[in-house]
Amino acid sequence: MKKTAKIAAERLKNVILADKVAHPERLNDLLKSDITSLLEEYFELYPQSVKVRLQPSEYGLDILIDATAVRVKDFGNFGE
Amino acid sequence: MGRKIVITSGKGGVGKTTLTASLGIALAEAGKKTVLIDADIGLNNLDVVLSIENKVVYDILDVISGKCRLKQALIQDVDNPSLYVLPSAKLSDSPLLNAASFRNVADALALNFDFVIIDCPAGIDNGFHRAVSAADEAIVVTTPHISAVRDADKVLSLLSGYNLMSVGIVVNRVRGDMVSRGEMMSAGDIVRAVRCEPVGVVPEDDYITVYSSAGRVPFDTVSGRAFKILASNVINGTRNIFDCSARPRLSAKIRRFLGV
Ligand SMILES: Nc1ncnc2c1ncn2[C@@H]1O[C@H](COP(=O)(O)OP(=O)(O)O)[C@@H](O)[C@H]1O
Ligand SMILES: [Mg+2]
Repeated sequence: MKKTAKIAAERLKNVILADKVAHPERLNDLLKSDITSLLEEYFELYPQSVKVRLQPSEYGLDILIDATAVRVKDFGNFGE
Repeated sequence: MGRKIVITSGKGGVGKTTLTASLGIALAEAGKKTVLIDADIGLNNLDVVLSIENKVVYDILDVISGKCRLKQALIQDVDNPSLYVLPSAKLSDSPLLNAASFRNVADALALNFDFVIIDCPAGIDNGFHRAVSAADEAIVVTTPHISAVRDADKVLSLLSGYNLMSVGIVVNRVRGDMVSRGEMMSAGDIVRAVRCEPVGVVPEDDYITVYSSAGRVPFDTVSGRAFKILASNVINGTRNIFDCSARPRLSAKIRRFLGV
């Protein structure tokens, strides 16, 4: 039989990770808009292509960012 | 300039006030001039835990509103001349009780004390914000129960939004016998789940329960030793952890004496 402490520790881990992604809408919206404007500095993005996902992982949270660029912005030539 | 540390938890009844009082005593015994700010308007107030409730004349609101000087409101502990308490306000809804005024009081105290320890109210509303805003460091208290650790984790997330120099966790009410039988989560389990540095582990101690109504807890008990280690960790930045696995019960003789 599994010891109660082991079960509790397992449940605790799950509860805490679930809490961390409990309010994903607001966090996601803010994150997405910030990441979009950052990426737009470098790329011409395909419209509505930025997706941000948070996923519990062994060390805390994985932040998965997915985006498509039509082209890289031309920074010109900086010289040496 | 003294160090300002807030003792917080999220969940009520996990031992914030007990920890504030006992850490204060241990710091004072270690020769540090310490003042405890009661920022909680709860049932088990700091003054009651330290049995100085009869000495309260002025409180923090009187100081903020200018009714008395800071020095007049401080109560010196009977047993530890290096330990002082600033009692909590009886009214919690005064607009004068805000984060800025709390910080001013804590800053003024830090000029004359080595440690300013703030007993935070439960919950995460205004009272929490006031207390945390006045501190530079935080200690989050939890017990080894899922609901308490969950609240502690939420508080840790909130604390990351403040400009604190350090945040540590104390696991209180650990029963070594249950941990070794695999019936209770260990401090290690908890620290791993919340990913926060442990500054102390305090065992469940019958003395605390018994003495909490009668007066202060004698210092030479298992929890007293754990608080001593905690105080030395706080002072020196060390991370020595009290071993809860040896847990002597209240002896029959003391039980008889106390009639419990
Ligand atoms: N380590 C401990 N062993 C036994 N009882 C404890 C311990 N820590 C706290 N308690 C008891 O738990 C109750 C709540 O503690 P308290 O410090 O008032 O919590 P909080 O301030 O977080 O609400 C009190 O009755 C106190 O005596
Ligand atoms: Mg309290």
